[in-house]
Amino acid sequence: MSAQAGMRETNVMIEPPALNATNVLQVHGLNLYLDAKGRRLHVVRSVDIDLAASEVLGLIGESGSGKTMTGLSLLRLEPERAQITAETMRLDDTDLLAASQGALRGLRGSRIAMIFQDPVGAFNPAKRIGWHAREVLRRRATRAGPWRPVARELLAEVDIADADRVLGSYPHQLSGGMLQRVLIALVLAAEPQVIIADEPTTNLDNIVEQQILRLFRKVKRTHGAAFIFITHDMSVAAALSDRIAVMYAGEIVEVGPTEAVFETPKHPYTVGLIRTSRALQDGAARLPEIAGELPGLSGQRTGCAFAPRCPERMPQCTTRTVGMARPAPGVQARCLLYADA
Amino acid sequence: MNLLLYFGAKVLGALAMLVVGAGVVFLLMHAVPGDAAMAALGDAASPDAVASFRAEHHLNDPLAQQFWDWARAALTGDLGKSISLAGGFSTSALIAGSLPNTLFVGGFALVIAIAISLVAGSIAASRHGRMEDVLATSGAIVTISMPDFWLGYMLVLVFSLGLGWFPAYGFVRPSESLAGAFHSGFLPALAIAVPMAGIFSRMLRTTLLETFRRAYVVSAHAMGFGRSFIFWHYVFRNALIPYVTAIGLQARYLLGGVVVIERVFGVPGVGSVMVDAAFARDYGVVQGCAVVFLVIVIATNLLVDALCGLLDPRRAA
Ligand SMILES: Nc1ncnc2c1ncn2[C@@H]1O[C@H](COP(=O)(O)OP(=O)(O)O)[C@@H](O)[C@H]1O
Ligand SMILES: [Mg+2]
Repeated sequence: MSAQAGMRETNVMIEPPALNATNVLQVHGLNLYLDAKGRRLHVVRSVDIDLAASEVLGLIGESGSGKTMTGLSLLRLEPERAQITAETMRLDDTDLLAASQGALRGLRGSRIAMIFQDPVGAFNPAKRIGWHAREVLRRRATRAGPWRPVARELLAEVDIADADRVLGSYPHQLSGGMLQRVLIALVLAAEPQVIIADEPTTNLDNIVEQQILRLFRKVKRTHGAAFIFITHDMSVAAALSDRIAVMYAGEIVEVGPTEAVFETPKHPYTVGLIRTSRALQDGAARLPEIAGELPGLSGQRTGCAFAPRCPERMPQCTTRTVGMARPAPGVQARCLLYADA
Repeated sequence: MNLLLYFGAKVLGALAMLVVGAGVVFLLMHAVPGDAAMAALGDAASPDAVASFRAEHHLNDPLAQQFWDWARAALTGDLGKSISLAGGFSTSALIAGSLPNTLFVGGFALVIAIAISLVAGSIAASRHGRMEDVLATSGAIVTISMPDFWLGYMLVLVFSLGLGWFPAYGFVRPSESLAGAFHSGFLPALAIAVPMAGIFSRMLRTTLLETFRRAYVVSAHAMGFGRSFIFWHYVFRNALIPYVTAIGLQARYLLGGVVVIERVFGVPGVGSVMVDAAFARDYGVVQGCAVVFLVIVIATNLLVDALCGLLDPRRAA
């Protein structure tokens, strides 16, 4: 077993955080509560994320499972009416829970950055791309010199040839794929340690999606950043990630090395997701969809969130608290099938 | 190029609107009951006198002919003569003498209303749900529900009769003394401005709050921009577009306010001329004044369109 694989294994174990110095991001027991029309929703539930330097973690799960809220929490950009609790939430040596607003603003875009699903919506519609580049580079660029040459250089790195035309355009004049490239370039300008990409290709058509994914693979090689790559598309996650975390109804239900999760998925939900994704790739006429829908997010939950939809349901699944089990080396699954007792 | 096309289309639209609007004004004036000749000459006038008056003022011609003659003359700046004022003042001269006063008071009111609303609306939105917001929002509701003539009398009561700071009645023309115009025009302008400021503030607050929730604002935070930078360059800048549009829509209410307030404060403006002429059944003058108001509203809309075109790069696309 290689040294790196060995390290990955230790990542997923719950250890006293202070001892694990190699992780750029350490999150333990992250909860996010939202007040929605008088109801308190528990949207992110005891999520653990450990991210090693330069690692790519694929965070997958169906729409509404809490991926975006998890990502926003990591930048402390949770909605105004949200409360966050966590045992540990550290970016390198910074406590993200205790940091002041000023300190957080200093981190955002420079040490931890986020790329959003809708590239058009990520830009100020009243300003040209050049304005965005100038404002970002003035504050964040690690490279010296006036902003325009640096911007051209960065745009070249994301395969934009006609940088000056792009810089002179308004956001509405460019395609989604082009804007996503620009956003990636601007994010890379600061050489952040952690980049959260929230479904960055979901709104793009297929060919452009492939181009952007290729770009992410190149960026992964050439820059040292660690990624959390959020997606609901299994094949996208598989193409990029070192490890996969599967989210369901606010919880991480399975996490492990990409090959392990894809070849031998443990959690019945993961099994279902992968079957659906394979069928999609094979162009099946009928999808073996997972029956049922996401459970509500309000209030306490007894037993497994997936139990109502689970083909392997056992009587104890709805009564017992379900913790993380370790069904294989480096793999954790929140499922009683693998519980020791 | 796109911007030119956009403005060209807007100007053409405005001209079409002017023609239709002038036609409507003309027809309305002629649908009003009451005979202009009787009004001008008095009820005791002899039938002969009435007949010669009607002939002299072309009142027997077909309506379309009258409109055509009137419109053609209007294009050269000739809006006819007053039939009620002794000496037969030309309508153009009456308007030329009164329009600067109206524009001054109306413009002054607009500036005050915009200034108040920019401050109140921004504070309310950035302190959403807190004390400042509640104060600004309830203040806006109170001012919106104040009738402007009532507000005018209250202002006179307090600031001129009580404190003696401003004159209670009368207006110094800006051509005579600019300082005097500002001094004597302040209370009338304020009376028009306060209810408008309430409307504008609420409008700005709503659009600011909507803009705060936009994805690009979250994205700006993720880029690490500072709070005030994001407020001015992202939130305020983009909220400005619907705000300016909303101000343009209020232009005609502004004119309504001007007409009333000119009477209250004795400002010799177009509104005063128009009301006097209406009581005297001096159709030509009323018609001329109505067209002037129409031009002002259309010009304001054109100005607002131009501003929006400059503010919103998507508009001209
Ligand atoms: N502004 C909001 N108000 C109320 N509920 C919200 C809001 N945003 C998200 N949610 C809820 O939080 C849950 C998680 O949302 P999200 O993180 O966006 O999911 P995902 O990114 O996985 O699709 C969803 O079930 C959604 O209903
Ligand atoms: Mg999402």
